[in-house]
Amino acid sequence: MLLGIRLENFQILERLELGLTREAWEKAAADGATPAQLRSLPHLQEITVLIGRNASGKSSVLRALGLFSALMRHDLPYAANAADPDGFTGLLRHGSREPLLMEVLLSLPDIAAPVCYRLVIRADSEGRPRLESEVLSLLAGGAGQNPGRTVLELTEDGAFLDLSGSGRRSLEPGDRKRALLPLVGRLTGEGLPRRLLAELSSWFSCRFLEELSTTTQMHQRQGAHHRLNEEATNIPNVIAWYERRNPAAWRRIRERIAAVHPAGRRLRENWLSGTLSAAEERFLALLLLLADPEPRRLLLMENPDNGLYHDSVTRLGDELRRYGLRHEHSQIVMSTHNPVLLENFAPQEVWVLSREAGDRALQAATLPLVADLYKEGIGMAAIWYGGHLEDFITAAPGEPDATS
Amino acid sequence: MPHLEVLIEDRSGAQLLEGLLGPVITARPRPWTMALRPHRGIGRLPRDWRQKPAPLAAGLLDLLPAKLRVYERQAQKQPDFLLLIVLDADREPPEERLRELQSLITYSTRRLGSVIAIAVEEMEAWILGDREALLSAWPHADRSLLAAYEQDSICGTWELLARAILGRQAERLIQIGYPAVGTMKGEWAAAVAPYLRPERNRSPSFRRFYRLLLKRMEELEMSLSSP
Repeated sequence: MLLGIRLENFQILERLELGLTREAWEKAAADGATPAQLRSLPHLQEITVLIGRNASGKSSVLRALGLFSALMRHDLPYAANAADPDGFTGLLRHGSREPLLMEVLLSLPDIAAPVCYRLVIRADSEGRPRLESEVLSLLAGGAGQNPGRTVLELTEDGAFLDLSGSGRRSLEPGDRKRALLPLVGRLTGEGLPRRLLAELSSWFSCRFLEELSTTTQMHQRQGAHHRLNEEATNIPNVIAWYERRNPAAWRRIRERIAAVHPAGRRLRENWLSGTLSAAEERFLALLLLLADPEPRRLLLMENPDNGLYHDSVTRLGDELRRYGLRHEHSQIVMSTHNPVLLENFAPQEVWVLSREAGDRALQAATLPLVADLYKEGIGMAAIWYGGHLEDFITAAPGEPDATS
Repeated sequence: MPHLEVLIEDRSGAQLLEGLLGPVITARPRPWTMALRPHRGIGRLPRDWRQKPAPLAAGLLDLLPAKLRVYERQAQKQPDFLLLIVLDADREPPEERLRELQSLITYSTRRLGSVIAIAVEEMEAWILGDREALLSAWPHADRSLLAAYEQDSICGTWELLARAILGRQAERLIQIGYPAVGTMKGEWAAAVAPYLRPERNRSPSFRRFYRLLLKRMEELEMSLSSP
């Protein structure tokens, strides 16, 4: 599960820490925190909702997370071009002389301490991406636990792998156009690189939600596809897969979707005849994704309620919640501007992004009064509308908040 | 630092109060902080004050019993916390609304200092109470209409203000009606706010609230200075 992400010089963000960072963990561990105390540091939850004004960095966060996944399959130039129309130039903060840094902190099942994976990418003289460093480490577990160690590292001086802690094996750094993790993960047996590769490869960006995208059946070819693709251009293929390979699951999924989707029972005919609107089709793709019996480890959604009628928004909220409850190892990170959707979430699930006094992300539950208001039954929509989620924005760092 | 937390029905009210209360705060001998909390409408007090608000509840009165519990707890940790609740009376006699709220406050709070302010009919009455501010914001306002206004009367206050400020265009607006014209109220509030001077406001409902607010702020400041 993703615990936190740190970004430097990524698009509009100069330096953002969202959720739990390596620095925060290591500082607490050095101060003598017990494993239990470390686990209770604020971190991203099974569902994480990002809110904030326009251009506060929500899109960038989602894009960065999607990029990790893309880098497990593609080289840097390809992944950068897929992530942004201007390629790496569009990803690196405008005018920055410093490199782009992306670092995630994760907890993997059966591994006590968190895993930290960091990439630092610099532009070469032509503006193309070049991997300056890549580090995969296991962090220290806290008082009395294992100390941390580095498992895979690439720097300007070279690269090494230390799978079991028993010694470093040097590796060929290669052309620095590719991350080493996907290669190492595929070539080594059971171990951290393989596990992290599986995890990151399973992260899914719902690109079909992007503003101008319209899902089409243009690229429909014959053949059953097990998984929906990120542009959701293979809905018919996925349905064909279910109908052939898992008809029982498909019946259940169809029932559920018919109950929730506004097109309801007539969904199949409307969809086959192409009479679903773009928003309805996007909603269908989302529901298919959420119904997958073998879900992804992380779903990334930007404004999933876009274009949806208000009661579909409420249903979407329900489906997201049911997904979270059903799959304890699967996570959703999403953004929204919609108070009706936000009402479905709790303060510890909501993170407010702001760029007014430096790039900041604060968990709503840590803001003054919010947890208390919520406990009294006041929903996140009213809390948001009442301005409580912006109390930290007007206070500069170090100054007391309005209500302190 | 003493803090004033203000609950208002809607965003336009928040803008007006920011204009009215901003100078009040800066004039205090000690620095105060202030936070304005808009709601989506006035709503209605639940019958059972102890129950949690309904899902998606957004009106000020819908949420008030629950919020009072939260603010009471806050006041126990932070004794220099003052709550101000500002409401439009609409068509109801303000005394009735006031009475009900006062009993809710007595029921829910002990440490929390609070002030209830009720504008007769609606807060536009407070803009009309400061003629100079109004004319500074809208020099071409219809003075004869303004002269005919009976301060704090129930007469269709925002419609009168609309006619005074907008002239003939006001009829279109009045036809569309509130709540669609909520944004206009916000614009008016923002336009007049910089000119408002609480000391010269002629609205009796405003003066009552203003006197009470100053009194409570003074009391709170004195209780902080005393050992």
